[in-house]
Amino acid sequence: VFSVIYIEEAILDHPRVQAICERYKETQQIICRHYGEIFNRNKQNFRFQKKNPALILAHKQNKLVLPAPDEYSIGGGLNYYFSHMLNCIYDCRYCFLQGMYRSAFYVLFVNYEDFFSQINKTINEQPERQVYFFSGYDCDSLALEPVTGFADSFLPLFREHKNSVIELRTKSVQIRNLLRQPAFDQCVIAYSLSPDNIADTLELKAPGLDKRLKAISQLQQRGWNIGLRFDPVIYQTEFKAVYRQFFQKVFSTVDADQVHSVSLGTFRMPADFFQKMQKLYPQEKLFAAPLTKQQKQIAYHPDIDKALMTFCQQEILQYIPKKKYFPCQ
Amino acid sequence: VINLVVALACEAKPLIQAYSLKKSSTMAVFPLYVSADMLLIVSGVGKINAAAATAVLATFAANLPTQGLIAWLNIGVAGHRNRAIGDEFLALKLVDGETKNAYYPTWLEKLPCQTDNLLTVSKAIDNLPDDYAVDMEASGFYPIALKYSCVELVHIYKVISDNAKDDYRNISAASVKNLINERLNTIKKVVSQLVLVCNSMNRASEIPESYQQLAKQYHLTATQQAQLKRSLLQWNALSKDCIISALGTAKLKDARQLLTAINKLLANLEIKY
Repeated sequence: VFSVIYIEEAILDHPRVQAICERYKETQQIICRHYGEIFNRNKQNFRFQKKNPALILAHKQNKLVLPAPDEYSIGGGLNYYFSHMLNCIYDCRYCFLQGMYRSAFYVLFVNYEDFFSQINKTINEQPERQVYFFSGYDCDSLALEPVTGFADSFLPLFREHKNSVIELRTKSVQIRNLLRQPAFDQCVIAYSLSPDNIADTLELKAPGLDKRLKAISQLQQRGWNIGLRFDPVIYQTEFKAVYRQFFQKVFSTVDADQVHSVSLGTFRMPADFFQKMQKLYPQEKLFAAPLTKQQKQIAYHPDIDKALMTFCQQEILQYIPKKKYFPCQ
Repeated sequence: VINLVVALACEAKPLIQAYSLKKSSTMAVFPLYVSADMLLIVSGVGKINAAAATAVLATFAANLPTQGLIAWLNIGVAGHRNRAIGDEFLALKLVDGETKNAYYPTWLEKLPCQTDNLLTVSKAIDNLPDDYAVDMEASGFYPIALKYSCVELVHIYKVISDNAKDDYRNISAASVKNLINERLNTIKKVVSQLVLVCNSMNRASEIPESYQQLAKQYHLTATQQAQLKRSLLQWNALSKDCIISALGTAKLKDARQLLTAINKLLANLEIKY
């Protein structure tokens, strides 16, 4: 699974480290001082590392919980995010992580208890407000669940706090841990979904659309709140036909009444991240589309962007009420 | 292309023979051996020599017509407290004994041999550590080679020449030559895997062939060169047709008209997944 496991020397005795090392005892284990020695090195090739990534076990020192970008909002007043992991086992060509990080290696921060304290503190500081937490910003929340036990470890915390909501953003079908436990209101399993042709060509190593829809269906049957994230919408010449068929397929499987929220956004990217990604994949179709730079952001040409948003919004609102719809722009 | 850095002539000899390298007359300070796709430099003992030879080799390589990334490999012998003489390994962690700087070479393919930690020291030591092999060049070689390449393409391969039972004082030129000779099969695997990765990386960032053709026909400013490369890459991403044919016989006066014509063609291409 991992080419190498790097371990910060200060956490060699940590029970989560020991459990992972025991599980992957055949994998080469190398001790380092700080994960940044490997993860933040210059002169790394993200694209080629993605073919055979290593796992880095680390201790997150500070900034464990951060305010979330405004566009993450799904109806809550206060939005925060935290990342127990950096990078993702999937290889989505549109993913901003390719432009943000120098390395494709996975970093797992094992000091979950420090995250718990910080999350508790954040919630308790605002007892009157609904506090939203997003966990899938720098990684897929569930994709490495068998190794990280993330959901099993973190969900009890949110179950206790009625004024908190946790969103697990994922494309994964690793839902066994969720199906084993009772659903609760303050948890939203938010699935990123794309039409088959996009999933097949741009969401490499991720489960296909049908598998994700099946997972959603199983979770809904067990009472879990489901979020649908149609983000990024990808332009193609026949986008109307492709996305109409796609929304039909999604809402013929998913129980729209049980959907917590739907968000929609077109492909966009900070310009400096985009430049790096384009360099990694100079012949990528996605980057050859009619994109334009506006301020510090790369996005589709405004006419195309508007056409995509307007069309998809109209389609989505045929299936769900407006109060559940959150456009990201 | 791959660049090899070795400390001793006796380490170099089996490699020179195996890869049919010819001595280059252009290098006076460090002996240099070349073939069409490999350069080998003999640095002498110690990390300063290794660093200097690596820099010299990089400068020499930069003047060759070959473009793109180059793989680098330091081949040599090392001591280890417990490992048997003749054991071989790729270093996945390298520490400089004086500065304590640590480096982590990244091997992308299936490992062709074992791996180990490597400590580079300035003087030969009697008490070998338990958890590191010990050499005298790698931490001189590695950071300099890295300046000219990337972490996936700079590596260190060592054969154990001495251990706690049989120390470095017993090493001879003949024994080192034998050790390298006996490990040529693995060395060839290491070299070919590195070259494979290097070639893939270079292919991934290749400029479209049509660029050279068009650059010959039109006078391009530096900005126009960049725009043309970008547009041709976009064309290749979206179309299987040859851009030169698509442009047809229309007479384009200058580079500006050329870029406009290509952009018009790009705007009309279908985007399908």
